[in-house]
Amino acid sequence: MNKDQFLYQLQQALRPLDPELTKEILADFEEHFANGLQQSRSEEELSKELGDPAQIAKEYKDSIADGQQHQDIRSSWQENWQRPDTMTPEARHQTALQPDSTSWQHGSEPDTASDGSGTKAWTAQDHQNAGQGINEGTLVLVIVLNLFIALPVVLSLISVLFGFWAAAGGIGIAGLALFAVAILEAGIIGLILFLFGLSLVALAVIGLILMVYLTKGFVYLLRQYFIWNRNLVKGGAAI
Amino acid sequence: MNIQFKKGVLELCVLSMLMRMDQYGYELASTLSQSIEIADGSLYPILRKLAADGQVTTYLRESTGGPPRKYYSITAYGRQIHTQLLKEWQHFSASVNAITGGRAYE
Repeated sequence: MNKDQFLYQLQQALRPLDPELTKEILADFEEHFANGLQQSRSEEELSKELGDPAQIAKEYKDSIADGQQHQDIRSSWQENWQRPDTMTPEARHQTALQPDSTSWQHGSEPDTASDGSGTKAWTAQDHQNAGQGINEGTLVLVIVLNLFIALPVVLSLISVLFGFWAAAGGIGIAGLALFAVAILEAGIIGLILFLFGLSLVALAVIGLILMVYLTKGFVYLLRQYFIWNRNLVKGGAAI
Repeated sequence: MNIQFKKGVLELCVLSMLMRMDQYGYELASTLSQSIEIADGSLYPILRKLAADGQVTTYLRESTGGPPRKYYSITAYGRQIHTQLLKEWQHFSASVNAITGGRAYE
């Protein structure tokens, strides 16, 4: 594999990450090649020693996940959502599928927690932002954005979700009520009522299952939005 | 070997190398791979993590006959972490030596 092939593969493997961050990472490797070539090493040799681009990309993602995980532990409302032991198997599966999800590394011990070094979020601008406080201009912008755009949108979405839940529940209750009536009615009418009730209940169950997923997705997006807000206010680049 | 453990040891090695002087990526990779069997590419995620933690800072310096090099420099916080990691490592390796019954230098 030559330099271009290596960098291309690395870039592809880094895809889910912030483009700005990807650019910085690729620059580091380009510099590595440039320095190696100066020592009259060949591109093939160098890329062989660097190792598998997919593995390198994974190591970057792992340390990002670590960093975010530590950050999340500090804000308590997310803790329950994130804790692997309180997560349902489906939820864990869902988050595991998200390439940039913060909780995909839950199996591993937070190694840096003991030395307290892992508490800072990993941003694209990394050390330049270390120690930087809250940016007031951005804070005002975020407040305005949330009050006038995000809040109405979120409230309407919650109402819609609530409406769907109520509808699904209502259909279920109607189905159950038909059962009750079917018991009183004898003969063919009772049978028809019973079957009609059955189909209503089935419909309600499907609706409720659908709603569980919809609500989960909504909460997930909301959470991402909060994280993004927080990163923005803290002056870091949103990943 | 446990991946978290290995990561911690590699961080200790990188910090130790930077305690001596500021170095650029390729330099660190060459030194590291001389004594430890490791893919050179694993160094860069570690460096980025250390920078994000504030344990190291970076700056660019011109090189003769090539593009500018990104130098890594250990911070006061990094030195603090280094002391701590070194202590943990010494404690750990002493325990392993005690169990295996050998001394490292015999």
